Amino acid sequence: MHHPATKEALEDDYFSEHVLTPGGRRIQRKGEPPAEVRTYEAVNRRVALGDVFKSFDVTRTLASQAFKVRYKQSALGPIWLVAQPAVLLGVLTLIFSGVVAIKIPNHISYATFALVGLTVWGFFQVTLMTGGQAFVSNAALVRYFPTPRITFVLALLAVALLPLTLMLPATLIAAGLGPGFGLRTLVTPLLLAWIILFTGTVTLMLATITVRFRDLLSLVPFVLQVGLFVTPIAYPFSLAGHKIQVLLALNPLSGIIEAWRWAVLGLSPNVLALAVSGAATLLVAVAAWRIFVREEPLFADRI
Amino acid sequence: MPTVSELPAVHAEDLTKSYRLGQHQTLNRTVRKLLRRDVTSLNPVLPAVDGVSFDIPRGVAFAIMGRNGSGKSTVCQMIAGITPPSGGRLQVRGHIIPILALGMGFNGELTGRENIVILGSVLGIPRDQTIAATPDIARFAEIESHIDTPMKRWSFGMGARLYVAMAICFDADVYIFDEVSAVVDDEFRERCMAEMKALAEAGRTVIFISHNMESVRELCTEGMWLDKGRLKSIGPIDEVTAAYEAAQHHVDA
Repeated sequence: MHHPATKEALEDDYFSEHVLTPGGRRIQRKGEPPAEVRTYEAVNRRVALGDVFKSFDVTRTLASQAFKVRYKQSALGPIWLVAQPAVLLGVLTLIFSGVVAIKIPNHISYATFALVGLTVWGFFQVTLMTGGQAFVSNAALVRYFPTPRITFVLALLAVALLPLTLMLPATLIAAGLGPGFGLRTLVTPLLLAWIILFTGTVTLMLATITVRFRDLLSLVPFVLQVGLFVTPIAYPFSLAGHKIQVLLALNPLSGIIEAWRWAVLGLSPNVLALAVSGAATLLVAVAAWRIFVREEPLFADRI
Repeated sequence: MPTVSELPAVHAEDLTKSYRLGQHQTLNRTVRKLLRRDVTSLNPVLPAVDGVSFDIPRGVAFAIMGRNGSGKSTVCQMIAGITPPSGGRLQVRGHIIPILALGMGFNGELTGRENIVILGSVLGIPRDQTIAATPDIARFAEIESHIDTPMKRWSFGMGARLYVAMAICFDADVYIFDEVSAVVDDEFRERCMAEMKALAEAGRTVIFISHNMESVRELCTEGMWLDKGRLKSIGPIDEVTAAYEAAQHHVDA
């Protein structure tokens, strides 16, 4: 195939800064070798905590596209974000306020009470359901592209944050109409950071283990189903007997929800649950990162 | 000590990559492990790349030849930084765009334009550069009329065109094209080859894998031949292709 005009231009350009390609694109001539050198050896670790921040651009792109994909060819689209928690809240209120009349301390209405638990639980559940498969659902990208892999978890975490940011104002409005605000309300942003850290690291751990053991694809939905009952979401801690309270407090999510109910509704929290959640958060964060760093290099081979 | 301009784009010393064969997690394996039986026999080790040393110079189109399963793609996965070597050492200079499996990574629900944004970002191209290159990519692939249609409605060939065009239009120091010309028509293949040649002339390194010796000779000036994970021959393209073809005819006969 001949392109007489471009061919000539190509020769004219020979000593210039640019090369005109046969397709008509001007590309810069590269003289000096690139400064960036990467060395690959049989090492077990190659992930740095800095990847979390370096991959911000990729994460933003993947998150916005994942969000688009979820509502492609969907008639109601993002309305589902609001519809799901609204219906769940309605059903819980009907059952625990209408059928079994649960008594909430401080004369707080059941709907307001349940909304706080659902906000936290909803975020945790959605992130685990989608983010737990962050690597296996992006297997093609993991296997054929050199992007930092932490980005796949971060992107799904970001997508799950969207419904949380919709639920949060609703929760605060309900709290304002009910028990009112106080200095404790100012702790809410810290609690937000806490639930994001805990959820994010649990998700990272599950997503990493799923690369090797697909068993988690069966296990996680089941555990979440059980979790809805064994986490004090639909009922207050104080309703349970002392021994059951101790058992419930061993669930690391219980303390986080107790903290939210204290900050938003002013209900006094179960101290044991708070301590367990705090310790579990640190433990999970360290363990998740270590497991991820150890397993990440061989993702492409094992996935 | 080589001068700065002689530093190769890719430098490999005794590069090795081994894989375990067989299934890695099964109920059978779990039970055997619990009973403390030996499970290593279930997963024999295959050296896919076995102690290979080579240099790929900067600013050339370099071919990697070999039969299926000879280790070509594994070498490329390691150069791309997707999987680490099991042994040896590999050095890569500059930003790399690896096209290792045509069409992989596209999301059928998203449009061509949206997919370009995703793949651009996982290839490490800054977002503004990706968006700026999109019209060029669509024009080069001749899929302008489909660029805003979900890719599940495209033909496979159109997707393949977009994939190759995208790699060609993004800027990098090293490009890997692993068997990209198999599903596209002759006219498009010729245009791609001309662009890849121009990339090499402009100082980029193009690593080209193909079973089509005509294409290899047309584009590349140097190359290497891998056989069962070992390096058989490396050097000027005519010598390597001649040796490779002679061996193939020998097998056929």
